[in-house]
This record gives sequence, C-alpha cells and structure tokens, in this order.
Amino acid sequence: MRTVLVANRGEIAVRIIRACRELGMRSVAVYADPDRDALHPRLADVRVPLSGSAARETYLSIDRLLEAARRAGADAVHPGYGFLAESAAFAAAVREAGLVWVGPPAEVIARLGDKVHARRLAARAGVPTVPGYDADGASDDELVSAAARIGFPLMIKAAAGGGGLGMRRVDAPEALRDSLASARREARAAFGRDALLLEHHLDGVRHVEVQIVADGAGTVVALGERECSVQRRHQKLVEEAPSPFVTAGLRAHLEQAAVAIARAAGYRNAGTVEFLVDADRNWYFLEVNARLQVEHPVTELVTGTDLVTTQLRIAAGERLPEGRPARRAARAVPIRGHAIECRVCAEDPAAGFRPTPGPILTLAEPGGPGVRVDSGLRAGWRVPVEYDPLLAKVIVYAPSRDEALARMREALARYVILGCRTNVEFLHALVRHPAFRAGDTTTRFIDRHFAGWRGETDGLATAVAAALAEAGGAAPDADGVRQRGTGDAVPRGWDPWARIGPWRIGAPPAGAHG
Amino acid sequence: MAERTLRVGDAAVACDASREGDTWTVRVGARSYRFRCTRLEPGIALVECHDRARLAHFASAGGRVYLHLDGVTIEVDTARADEGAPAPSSLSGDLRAPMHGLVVKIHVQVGETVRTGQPIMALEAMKMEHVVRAPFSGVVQAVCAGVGDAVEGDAVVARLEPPPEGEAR
Repeated sequence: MRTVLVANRGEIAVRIIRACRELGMRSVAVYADPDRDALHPRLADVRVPLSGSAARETYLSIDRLLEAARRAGADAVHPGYGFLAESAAFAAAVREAGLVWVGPPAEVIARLGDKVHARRLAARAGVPTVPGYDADGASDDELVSAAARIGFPLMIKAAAGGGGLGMRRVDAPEALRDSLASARREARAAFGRDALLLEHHLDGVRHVEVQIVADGAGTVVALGERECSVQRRHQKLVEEAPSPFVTAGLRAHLEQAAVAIARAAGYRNAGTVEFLVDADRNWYFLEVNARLQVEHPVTELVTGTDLVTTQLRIAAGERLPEGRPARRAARAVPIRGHAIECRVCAEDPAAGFRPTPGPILTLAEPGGPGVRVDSGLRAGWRVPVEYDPLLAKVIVYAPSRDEALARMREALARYVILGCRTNVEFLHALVRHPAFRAGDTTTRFIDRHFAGWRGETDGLATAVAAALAEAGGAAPDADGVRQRGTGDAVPRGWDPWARIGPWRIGAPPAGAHG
Repeated sequence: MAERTLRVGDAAVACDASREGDTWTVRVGARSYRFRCTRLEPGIALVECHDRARLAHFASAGGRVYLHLDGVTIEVDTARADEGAPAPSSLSGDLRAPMHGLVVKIHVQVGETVRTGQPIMALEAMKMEHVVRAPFSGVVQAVCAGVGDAVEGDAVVARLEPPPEGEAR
C-alpha cells in the first residue's frame, strides 16, 4: 500500500491525509467544484477534480471515484465517514478494481449497515435490543399497525440510515403517515433505499458507544466507551471519553457485548457499537457503525491509539499489537485522563439549527496544550450548501473532566470564524451549563436546557461592533472601505481604526438639518 | 443626544458612539462602555477595557460587518442600519425560504386552499430537509420556485391569501 485515495472532503479528509503522511504513504484528494479552494485538496500529494457539485455526481459517485483512483495510481481507498463509508457496493467495487479498502469487508458492511439485520445479529449474540418492529421491506400499512402495538412515542428509522437521516420521532398516531413519507423521501435521497423500521422511543436515555478494532486474524480489542448523548436533530454535537455515567461494571458489559457483536459479524478494521443506556443503567444495542466515527479523536486521546493509522495498518495486513487470547474479556487498552469534543457546524442554534453556508472571511483556530483542532476550514473558501454542515472539531484532553471543561471553554472562546455563522457560541454556552458540568446529559439535554436559546448579547462586543459599523460601514464611500477593498469576499485593506481625528457619531453631520 | 439604531445580529440595538483618539465611549441601550482600541494589523485590533485586553477580529462583506471579541461573534447589517423595525411580520402572505437551499418537493398547487401548518414546500440544504408550512389558513396565490431550483435564504417561495370573508374559521 503506497498511495491512498481519500474518498471524502472536509476535516476528515485532512485527518486521513495527515495520517498517510505519517506512515510515508502518498495521499490523493478528490474535490467537487465547491471545494476547489477548500483545505483538503491543498494538503494532499495529488488532487483529482470531480467536476460537478451535487454529492451524487461527486463524493457519492463510485465510478468517478474509481476513475480518480486509477488516474492517480492509488492502490488503496479510505472512505472516511459519511458519503460512501458504509456502502457495501463501493467497498466491493474498490476490491474488484484491485484496490485495498480501508474498512471492513463489503459483506460485513452489508450485514451491519442494514439496521434490521444488525438488530437480529445482536439478538443472536445475546445482546439486548430496543423493542420495535423490523420486518424486511415493511409497507406503511404494516408499520402503522406495528406502531399501535409498540406504542408512542416511537422512532422511525431508515434501515440503511445513519447520521440522523431518515429518522423521525413520532409522538401521536395522527402524525405517523406524514412522518413515514418524509422519512422515506429523506432516506431515498441519502441512501438510495427507503426501507424503514420502528423502535420504541426510550426517553431520557444516554447514547454510549464502544470503539472496537479488529485485525481479521482473531484479535478484537475494545477501546473503551464514548458518551455521545448531547445531540440535536438526532446528530451528535458533543462527545466525551470516558462517559461520566458509565461505571467500571457497565463498561465491562458494554465492551463484552461490542466484542461479541464484532466477532459474530466477522468484523475487521475499526468500528463502533452504539448502545442506549437508561437512568437505571439498563442498556440496549442500537447499531454498528462500520467505519471511522466523527468523534474518534476522544478515544485516541484517552487510549493513546491513533485510530486512522491503525486502520491503514490493518488494511495493509498488519496484526494488532494488543493481541490477546480470544476469550479474554478484560479491556486490553487502559484509559487515561479525560477528552471532550465539540463539533463546530455551519448552523444557527437560535433558528432551529438551520444550515448557514457562507464565506470564511477570517479564520483563527485555537491551540495550546491539550487542544486539538481537526478542521477543514480555510480563509477565503466558501462553506457550500451542498454538503454536511460539520466544519471542524475542537477536542481537548486533560487529566480530569473539570480541567478538560476549562480547556474547552477557553479553546471555544479563541475560535474565530467570521462570515459564516456557526454554533461556536452555543457550544460555549453548552459546556458552561451546570447540568453539563455535572455530567447530567441525556439525549434530551438540548431540548431540556436550550429550547429557545438566543445567545447572550455581550455589551462590550456590541459596543465595539457598533463603533466598527459606524466607523467603517455608515459612510463607506467617504472612507477606505470601497476604495481600498478589492471587491473580493475577503477584504484586506479595510480598517476603520485607521481613521484620523476625534469625531462623533450619532450627532447630525455639520450643515445637516436640525 | 442623537442616537442610531443598528441591526446587530437579529436585534435592533440603539447606540451612540463618540471617539477621542484611540478611546471610544459607546452607549448601548442603557449602558455605556469606554474602551481603547488600537489597530494591530488589518482585521485585528486590541481592545482594552478596564484592566483586561482582548483581541478583536473584524471583517466586512456584502453590507455586513463581522466582529469576534472574546468568544462572541457579532454581525452588523450596515445596509439596513437605519431600519429600526424588525423583519416583516409572519402574517404577511409571503412565504420565505428559511435558508439557502434546493427545492425538493412542492406539496400544493396554485388555487388550493390550505390549513395552518400544512406543508407547502420542502427544501434541502446541507443534507437536511426543511418543510415550509402555511402560517395561516388560506388560498395559494403563487408558487415561486420549482423542484430542483436553488433558492436564497429569505427569498419568497410562495404566496398565500387569506380566504374570503365568511369562509374564514
């Protein structure tokens, strides 16, 4: 394995390109038109354009990606997460093209990627699942009658689902048919198939997942859990490791279950087994993510394991160093310290988390001890409307959770993104919240504590902004704004502070009426 | 004292600023702030207030000024600076796109009578589907976009008219 094509974009493409460099491998970036000026193509050894902008004709096009791999002389493909990462068809096509797939075998992806089959596999492995209805190819009518038996509230899920897409919470029977139709449409658009299943909605639960790594030669290692309860739109926003709620006893159960499922599925490479845990620490299997997770860095920090280089090494045929007798249940990798991740997204938390694509005019990212930023951002690039709103992840590591929280607050306060609205201030408010500080998080955390959140109006910032607007914006033609600006999205020479002399705004100009 | 109303983010803020050298005095609502502001390089200034110093990052584009100060990001809409009034009321018959996106589904036809909350149009942006719903019961007067069209945020995508007198519930 010498040359790896990264079939993805944004921060995860950057992460994988860096891992390839560390291992001395060449990296190939692919990019759609809106990503021509993005960060990831600039860092790779080879860039291949995928002309077009819709995901379907670029990052989701198996033919175009394989053609790019051929042109660039790649001998392996890393899919990242999202897009085709859990496409059994892509994994199989990569293999048929004679290339190495950095992930589980196509058959394993197919088995686990279908939530209906994954639920059955877990049940056969003796792992409890959420009560629900998971018939193959169930029609709306069958689902409606099953819903009456399961009871409300319930969750509609796309069998092929992931990332909260094709997922709906339904509180009452009247809303069921509309939600089924909408979920099917979203699932068809995102995954190309619209099979649905129903699960009883467990309220006030936590979302806890176990990272596993398997070398395909008999060694399966669990690398502890991640707490991922803080979500909006069924998508994770903040993750941490270890979970403040998981006891040593529960951790052992979850790890055993995760390893049992991985073995039953014939798993190879890195993967994640997700569980729901209720207030009484009852736990249920949710699904397997047969790929790298967005939140993998928190596990990397507390275990000292680089999951991306581990993925590349396993794909290249290496065995896991942590090899242990197959029946050994104890965790092979010790957990040290505490890590927290916040997802920085182009979205407006004060407006229902609606997407906010836009230009990056100014960018300054935080750093310092224990602060890691996995980012796909570049000043001068425009965050496109076509793809996921995830821009970057701020990950902090410290000996204790309290110290990690302090580090996160400071890191978020130093993250400057101008031009494109983001959720950074919301994240800052979230990690400051007493309930979050106490580790009291469930999947309802945001609904319960942040419904109607508007952000605080900071007096000093408003005063400075008001002064700025007056100095630069109120009389643009009289000043440096237009003549010195380039007309580009990124003004370079504009600087209201350079204006000379005492003056006053608010007062009527000399000679004006009144 | 004369004052100006600025659109800061989504809010209208009354303020009044004066400057002497590097030192500004700005009244925001009922409070007054006095700070020193020193330009360090294009787009970056040092703001000193009481005994604390902070870096301010700022930029401007498309009639907006953007500022980041100590974890707070503010957008000032200079193009609409003097419009004190908030955005048009939701009782207008103009249905606007909540965001820049692609039209993926149109649920109604012109002339159709719809009830409050009924889906009018589905938009997709950044992989999320958003449904534009009827803000009140009425008759669809116009549908201003087709499936597959890209629409800008705040663009009018459909128009409703209240039902004639007597038919209203």
